[in-house]
Parts: sequence; C-alpha cells; structure tokens
Amino acid sequence: MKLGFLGPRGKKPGLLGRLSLHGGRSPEAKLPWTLAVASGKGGTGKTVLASNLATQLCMDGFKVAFFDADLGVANAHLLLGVQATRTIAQVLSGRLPLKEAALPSPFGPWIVPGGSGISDLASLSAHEFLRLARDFRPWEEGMDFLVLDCAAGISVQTVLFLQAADDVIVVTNPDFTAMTDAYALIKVLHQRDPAVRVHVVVNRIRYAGQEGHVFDRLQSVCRRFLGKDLGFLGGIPDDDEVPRSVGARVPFVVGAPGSEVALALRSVKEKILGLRGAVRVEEEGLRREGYGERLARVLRGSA
Amino acid sequence: MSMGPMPVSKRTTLAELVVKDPGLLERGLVLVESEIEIGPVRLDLLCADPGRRPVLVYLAGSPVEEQEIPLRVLDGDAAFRRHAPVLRKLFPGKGVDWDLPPRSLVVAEELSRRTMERFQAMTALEVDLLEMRSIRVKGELLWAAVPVGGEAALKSLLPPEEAPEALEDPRSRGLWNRVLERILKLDEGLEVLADKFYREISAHGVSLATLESGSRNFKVIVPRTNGSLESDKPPLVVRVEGEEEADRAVDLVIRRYLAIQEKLGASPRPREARLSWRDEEDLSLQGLERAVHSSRLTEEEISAFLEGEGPPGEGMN
Repeated sequence: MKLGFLGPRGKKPGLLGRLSLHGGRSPEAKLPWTLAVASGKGGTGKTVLASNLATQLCMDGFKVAFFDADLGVANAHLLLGVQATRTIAQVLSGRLPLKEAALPSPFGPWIVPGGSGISDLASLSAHEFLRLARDFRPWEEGMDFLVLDCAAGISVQTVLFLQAADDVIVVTNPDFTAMTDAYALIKVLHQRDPAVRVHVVVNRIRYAGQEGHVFDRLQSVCRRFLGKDLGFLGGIPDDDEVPRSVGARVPFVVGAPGSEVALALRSVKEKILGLRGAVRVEEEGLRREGYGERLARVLRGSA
Repeated sequence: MSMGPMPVSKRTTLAELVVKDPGLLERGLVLVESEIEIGPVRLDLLCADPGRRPVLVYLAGSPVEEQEIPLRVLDGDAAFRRHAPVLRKLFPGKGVDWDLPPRSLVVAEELSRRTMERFQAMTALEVDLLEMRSIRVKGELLWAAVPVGGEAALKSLLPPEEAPEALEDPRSRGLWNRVLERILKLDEGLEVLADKFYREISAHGVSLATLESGSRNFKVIVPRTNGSLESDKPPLVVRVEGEEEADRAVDLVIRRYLAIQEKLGASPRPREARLSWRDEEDLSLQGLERAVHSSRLTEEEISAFLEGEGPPGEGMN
C-alpha cells in the first residue's frame, strides 16, 4: 500500500512510506463456541434449524457468526433475510477478507453466505481451505457463537468443517434412511476423531415421544459399533409454521415465537447453553484457539 | 516541468490567494475574517479548521517580514486569548469554537533555517510552518502549501492509521482506527493520502472513500457508483458515532471497492496472512478422501436399525 501526505488540492509533495498495519492475534480476545450443524442426508431441515438456532441465540443477547459451509449451494442467507451482495466466493478468490464478506441479518446473526451455482466451491483444495482457515480469526473474535451450516451428506469438506467444531449437531428425521445416513456421518467423524462431541436433534417428529425412540435407536447403534455416546438435544415437531417462515424469509423463532416448533427450538437452545456452560468451567482461561486455528490443525492431520 | 518556490514577493498577492481559498493552506480551513488588528498585533487571516478550532494565519511576503513572524505569532496568540470574548461577539456563527485554544499557521515562500529554529524553541505554541510552492503544468500554475516544520506539522505526518489529533473523543478515535483498518485490509494496493483531518483512500487510481475527522465524530464519504465509477450525484455520507454507523460505512466502502474491481477488471493484491502460520506446502486431503470414500455401513449396522421393539419412525419394519 502506498501512502502520502495530502497537501491542499490533493497534490502529493512526495512523502511516501510503507504502512505496516497492526496485525496478529489479540491474546485476550473472546473466541466463540462453535456449533456445526450437519445431517447425513438432505432434506432433514438442517438449515432451517441452524438459522433459527442462530437467531434465537441472538435474541438471547449473544453475538453470533453464521457460516454457510454449504459452499456451492448456499441458501441459509435466504432464511435469514439477507441479500447476498457478498459471498464466500469473493473470500476464496482473495477479493475480500472473511470478516468483510459477513453481512448483518436483520434478525441478529452476521452471516457469510455461501456461493450459489459455483461447482468449484464444493471441492476446495487443501491450500484453499488453509487460506479460509486463516481468515476466520478476525471474524470470530468477539463473537459468542459460531454456527456452521454444513452441507448435507458426507464429503471431505463437511467432515473437515465438523471436525474443527466444538460440538456437532446432527439433525435427523424419524425415517430409516435419515437415521442410517446420520449414523454413517457419525461413524466417519468418530473414526477421524473419537473425541468429537456429537449431539442429535430429531426433526419433524409426528407424535410425542417419537424423538426419544429415534434417539435411543441411534444411540444404541453408536454404542454397539463405535463405543460412542451421543448427546441428545431433543425433538422438533413437524409444524406448518416452518414452511410459512421459509416462505416469508423470517425465522419462526421471530415470526411465530409461541408456536410449538419455536418452543421446541428454544428447548434445544437451552440444552446447548447448558453444554457450553459445563465445558466453559473446565476450560476457563484455556481457550486461545479459534475455529480457524483448529480447522488448520485438522487440515494438517488430513494427509 | 519546473518546480520551486513561488515568486510571491508581495504579501498582497499571497494574501489574495489564501483569502480567496484558505483551503490552499490546509484542507477544510474556513475564513472568518482577514486583516484583523488587535492593538499592535496584526493577524493576516483568522480561520476555523474542521475541528472548529481558531487558526491564526501570518503571511510573510519578504525576508524582512519573515524575521518579524516569530514575534508576531507570540503577540498574536496572547492577544487572541485576551480578546477572544470580543471576537466571539463580533464574529458569531462563523464556525469557530472560541473556547478552544488557537493555533497558528505561518506562510512564506521560503522559510529560513533561523526562523524554523526559533519556532522549534517556541514549544508552548502550536505552530505550523508552510512554504508556498508551485509548478507550472501546461502553462497553468499549480501550487500548494507544504508543511516544512513546527510540531503540529510533524504530527500531521504521522502514519495515517493513527486517528487525527483533531478527533478528540476516545471512543470515536477507536472507531476511526477500526474503520480505517478494515478498509485498508481489503487490498494491499490501496493508496492513502493523509493530512490533519482527512484520509483519502483510492483503489487502482479511483476514489474509494474519504474519512473526514471532526472533534467528536467523523464522516465516511463514499462516491456513488450508479453504473459508473464517476457519478454526478452527491456522495454517500455516513456520520459515524457508533458501531452501527461504522459497520454501515464499511459496508458502503466494500460495495464501492467491489464495483471498482469489477468495472476495471482489476485483480486484488494478494493479502498477507495476518497470523504467523508455518508454510504448508505438503498439505493434502488424500487421507481424509480415502476415509470418506471408503465409509460404508455394514449389513450388520444397517440391520441394527431394524431391530428393536416397534418402529421409532416411518419406513422401518
């Protein structure tokens, strides 16, 4: 960058120098708790849940960053009422820092929209991932939560994003394929990192107690074949408010706060806050690594 | 093209030039009155800067007048302070905050070393020393005042990432620094021109934004981009008094920046990594790719979902 002294009328008398920006990390900066929302298959309601969860957290007074990690087929910004004037595509092409690609949703979260219709984004190289990882820190500093809406299914990209999160929320439905696909995702994650914390939300339940049955089945299989225990965040009912909110581009926690689905989502949120509180006590004073740094660390171990 | 001191041997000519446009001395300077005599003290110009501070201007059209300047500045400062209440009544509504301490500008075609040394010793006063210089381009004389000394002039030459001194409110200074840093991080090729109150930022030779400092807050001025990078319409102005306005201002700048890139077909300059990372030449996702592509559920695992009493959901027997 060039700089100079502005004389009257803008003529440069010739004082030039290098500007060295103060960069680097702020060791005392607050770093967010990362929640990565995933599902083994598409259509489980993952994005609706992630966007509403992020909104509800904002309504509770938290500062939330929302990253649409479904890089090439982004739609979360639509649910959050944001026009995607900037997207992850500009970040990956080096035009913008990640922080400046973030747009404010009228409902609270800051969102970096994924690109749409750009197939290259769906398969980033390791070095592109690393560049992205480097860009997270300025954005995530000061935030309370970072919510990632990951692409459905099991892909290299998705697994990377999930591995670096503090907690993974797997969204499933009470149908056979949704459950088996959810298990498949959990299996891959567990094989990569047995310590990964996975919690389950059962979406579109049709009768009271159904979520418990679904979770028990999933938990039983995970224990039997992986030796892994899952967390249970609850169930979300199948509610007409959901398609209504999607059409209106207003999260249901805002547009219909008293609806069954909104109440259920709040219950999920409370459980998440409970998790965070417990771990915070254990890690008090130790959180110095942001999501970007963890993502880079996961990358290094992915060879 | 020749360059050198302007042959302004008559103070009258110099006075005519700066009275007509005090901004030639310093951007944003506004004339209150000229040729003010307070007892034996003569102020050539009385101006206000963008921070509403009174600025006393002394012109030296000859070496003799230049020698008298230090004493005039001392006497002028004292006289101004003593007569500020009178000036306040005589020149109401002229954009001056009469409670603020004055500062002085000394303007000459060339200031001698001796005069500059004298001013260096006058540490109690805030004095800028300017030399009027000109160049002739295609027959037209272009000129500007160049700060050559004085503590205030030196301070104005600080790196532009520091908020102007005129911006006194600490919170606003923090906002200024953050806004400027965010803008500058967009592209390493941005050009910044700075003076006491302004930072003019351009990208690929096109105006991107201007930050204009007041005393309590500041403005971010962004040219409009309506189909073209040069618009006749007035620029977009955001007065920044808090985080929300700061974010809005940066958003406007980013939009302008992206429009410039698109219009000019320009490539962004690669941005340096902000954190210290070791080189990762040997990064590979092969291991993860193998793991993902080879992940399949066994028949046993699939069957396990079919076991148990009663279906937990649809599609299960």
